[in-house]
Amino acid sequence: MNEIEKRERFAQCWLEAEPAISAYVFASVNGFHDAEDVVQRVAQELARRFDEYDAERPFVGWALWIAKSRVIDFYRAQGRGRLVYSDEILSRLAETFAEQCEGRSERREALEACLESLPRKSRQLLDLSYGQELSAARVAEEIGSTSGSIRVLLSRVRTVLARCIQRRLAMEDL
Amino acid sequence: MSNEDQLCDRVLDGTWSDDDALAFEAWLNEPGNLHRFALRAELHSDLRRALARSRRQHAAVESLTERSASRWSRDVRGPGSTGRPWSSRSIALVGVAAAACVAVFAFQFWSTLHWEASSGIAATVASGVESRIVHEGVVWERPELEVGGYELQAGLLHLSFDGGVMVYLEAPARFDLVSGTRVVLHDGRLSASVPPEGIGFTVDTPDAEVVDFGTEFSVDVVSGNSEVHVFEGLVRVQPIQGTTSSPSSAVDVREDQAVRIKPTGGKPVQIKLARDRFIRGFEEPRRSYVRVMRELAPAASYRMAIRDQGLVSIPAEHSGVVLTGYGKRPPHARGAFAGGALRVGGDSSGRGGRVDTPPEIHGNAFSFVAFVYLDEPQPSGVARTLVTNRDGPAGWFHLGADVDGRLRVAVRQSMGKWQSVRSPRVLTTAVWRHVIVTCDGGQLELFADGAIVQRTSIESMDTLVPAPLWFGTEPDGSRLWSGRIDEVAWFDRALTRREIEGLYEAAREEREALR
Repeated sequence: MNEIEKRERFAQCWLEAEPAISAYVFASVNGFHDAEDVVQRVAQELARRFDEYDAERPFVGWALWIAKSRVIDFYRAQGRGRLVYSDEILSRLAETFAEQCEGRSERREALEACLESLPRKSRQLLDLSYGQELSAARVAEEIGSTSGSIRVLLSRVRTVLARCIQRRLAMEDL
Repeated sequence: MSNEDQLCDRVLDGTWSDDDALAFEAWLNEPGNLHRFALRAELHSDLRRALARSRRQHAAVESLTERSASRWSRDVRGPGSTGRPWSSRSIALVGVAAAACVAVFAFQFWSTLHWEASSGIAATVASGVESRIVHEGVVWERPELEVGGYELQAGLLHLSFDGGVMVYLEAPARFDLVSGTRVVLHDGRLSASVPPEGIGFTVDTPDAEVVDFGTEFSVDVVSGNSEVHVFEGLVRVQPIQGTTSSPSSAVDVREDQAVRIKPTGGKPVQIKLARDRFIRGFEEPRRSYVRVMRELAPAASYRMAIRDQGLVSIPAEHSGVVLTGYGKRPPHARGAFAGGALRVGGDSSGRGGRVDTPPEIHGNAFSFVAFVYLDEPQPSGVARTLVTNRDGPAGWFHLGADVDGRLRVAVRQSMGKWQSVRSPRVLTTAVWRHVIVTCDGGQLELFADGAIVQRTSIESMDTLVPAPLWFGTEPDGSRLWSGRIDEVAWFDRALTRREIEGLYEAAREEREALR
């Protein structure tokens, strides 16, 4: 395999694995920007060590293994004050995300459809929180509530969406 | 809704308490809960991605509308106004784009996501060519560019990002620097070169998210469409959901491919790759063609580097000026190899180049060498000028395309009589042609891409009195060339066939290598 083929092969592997890797890192690292940095470092290390990858085995498993190491590095560098998982939990979490890869695109499509059917107020809450990146306190100011209520409301909307996704997927299976 | 869902949300939002941390650890160890937590985390991630895209598109539309309005309001604004062209909504757009990063799950500290907290250096200026950068209504002169919105009003800009990512922008362009790995291009043209260390570098446009995986690509946002052209490697293009209710899937764009994404959403449409439309480097590389050329010792050579002033010659005494003319400035264009070229035409007039002190040619023998590029088919009955020093009774050389679109070269013989040769075929568009004219005092020969296309005998020429040399235009501003001219050289002798073939071979090899 020449350099160009190798690069293209890596790009394909990373495209397939990236959702699982990102999900794993963002679930393990406390802080949006820190998690982004860790994902970036994982991608760089995967590119640098691609020659070590055994093509007979799933790329996502190898990539999650490296991601776990980078998450542990991050824990060491950051020290206290963060929610830190044990090595065992990190490994089990990685296995879970690898298993979850299957069906992920169907779940995302179902979510898009479920978002369309949300009541206006619920959608507004999500837009403020995710679309505009407002804190719960700022959302509360915007719509005249308290940050505690906003967090509870957001949890409820997420649960409504999770059930909607399950329903849609179940209907597709019929 | 269960308390467990709320606990997961607090952990994922980063709003957990010490008690939550203990409870969560115990809960996670129960069978099935790890899977449940992973699904909840995935939901957070997908919500962020879907809603940030939707918001980004909405904000981009607003921003475009506001831009026209703010231009008008700047004109009528009084002296006491702040003069800030970037609205709060533009700033919100940046915050949104920052949040749309690759497949995100968040243990969120919400406050850290605010614009103010995320300020910092996003990129540094590696080089610029007559560039004028405006940030919040003020001309930006520092080499470090902070996170924020910018407008490149003039010239070219070369920015360096995290991981060795190099980005080239050409004016006019409007962009937001979101972080060291992310740019939002509202309109304009951008090229990026991404080494393996910069994988994941992302360009957002109003219509799509373009994620790079170690490659070289260009993005063009114009007239409400976004185009992505990939020259090497592979990028992923995720269209933002448009007016259609169904989500658009991401597409992989590979080497030598290009796509257009419409603002209405839907699947990106494959288009022809525009290899020569984008500036992908400012330096004129020292390539083999130039080495071969220099070994032949031209009397003057013009590399047509990207310069807004001057038509630089080696040696310098034969340098000239680039005529800027009137009307809309045509975008900068890549040269035959890399770097720049003299571009003439487009929606403008009076453009071209002029050399007042060209090299003297003795003994009725000379050669002219250039790369020429015709942008569009020549209208029937319209002649165009590539290079000339013919100005009324003065001058002795003219090269251009005749009314049939064929290359034609003419020289003035003794007694003022002109002799010419024409290529048998019409000049093809959108491709660089290597053109050489030689004259040994008895034969006038025209070569294209290393092969002779036409020749004729000539009588002795008048004394070749130096006259100003014009590139891409007649002295009176008529017969404008429509395209580019690059790597021009004059010799005070006739090049041999072997030298001509050697030059073309060097050019061919170098262009192959660049592909």
